[in-house]
Amino acid sequence: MLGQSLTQFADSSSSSGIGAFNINLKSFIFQLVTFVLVLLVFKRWILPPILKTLDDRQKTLEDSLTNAQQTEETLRKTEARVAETLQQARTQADAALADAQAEAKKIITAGEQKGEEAAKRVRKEADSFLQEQSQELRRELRDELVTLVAQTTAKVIEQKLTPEEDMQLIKNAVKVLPNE
Amino acid sequence: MNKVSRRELAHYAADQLLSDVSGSKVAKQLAAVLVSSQRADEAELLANDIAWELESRGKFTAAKVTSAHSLSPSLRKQLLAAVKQATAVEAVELEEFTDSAVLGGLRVETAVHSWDETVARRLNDLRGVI
Repeated sequence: MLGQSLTQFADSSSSSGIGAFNINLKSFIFQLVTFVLVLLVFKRWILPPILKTLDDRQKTLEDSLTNAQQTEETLRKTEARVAETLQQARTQADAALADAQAEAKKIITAGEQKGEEAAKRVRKEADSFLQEQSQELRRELRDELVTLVAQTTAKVIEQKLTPEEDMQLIKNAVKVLPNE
Repeated sequence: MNKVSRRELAHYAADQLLSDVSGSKVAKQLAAVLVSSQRADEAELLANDIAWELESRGKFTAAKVTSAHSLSPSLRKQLLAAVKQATAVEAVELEEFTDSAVLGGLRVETAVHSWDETVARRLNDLRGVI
């Protein structure tokens, strides 16, 4: 019925109105109806899946973007933490190095002091040993000299002491014997 | 069997000798004791102990006199008297020895006493002092 009405409208306007533009009204209406039908079909069955797919993709993209932002934020925080940790580690390492250097210096100083004390002790012992050796040699020399003098004196006395002089010595010795 | 000490033997021997028992008899008795107790090597020490015992009792001493030259008779007589007085014994017997090592003076040794008035001793003392 709609087609019939349209045909009648087309016939009535073929010579006036639209017909003035030399347009086939029937064909136009038919194409219009076809277009509407196609439009309805498209809108009913084709467009929704496409829109849904587009929405899904958009949502996926938004999620990905959000995730990327979160990841970037996390990365930034992690980098900040790493930098902070590195800074702390560097500070601690510097402090430990300074402590180690101070300790090493202390140990070296102590070692030098001990070495110096040991050297002094060795020097002192060597001096003492040399002094003892010197005194021992002097003692030996003196003893030998005394022995030599005594032997020489004995020889001289033996040669020079006459029997008469010896008798006098014996007389003197007899006199000094104690009286009990 | 209890072992008799050397000191006791010397005491016994001195008693016997002072009791006019003959010396040879005492010597035999002592020799028997020493041999039976296997102490024959102590004979010399026992003789010294007897000498010490006799001198300690003021009865007798044998003085060993060492000098570089022989003593003259008069000097020997003086020495005898001096030793007798110094040791306070009734009888003294001198045993003279000549030793040039003493250089001069004399040395007198008895069982109990000893006097060294030699030049060698004085030199030795001098060495000690130096």
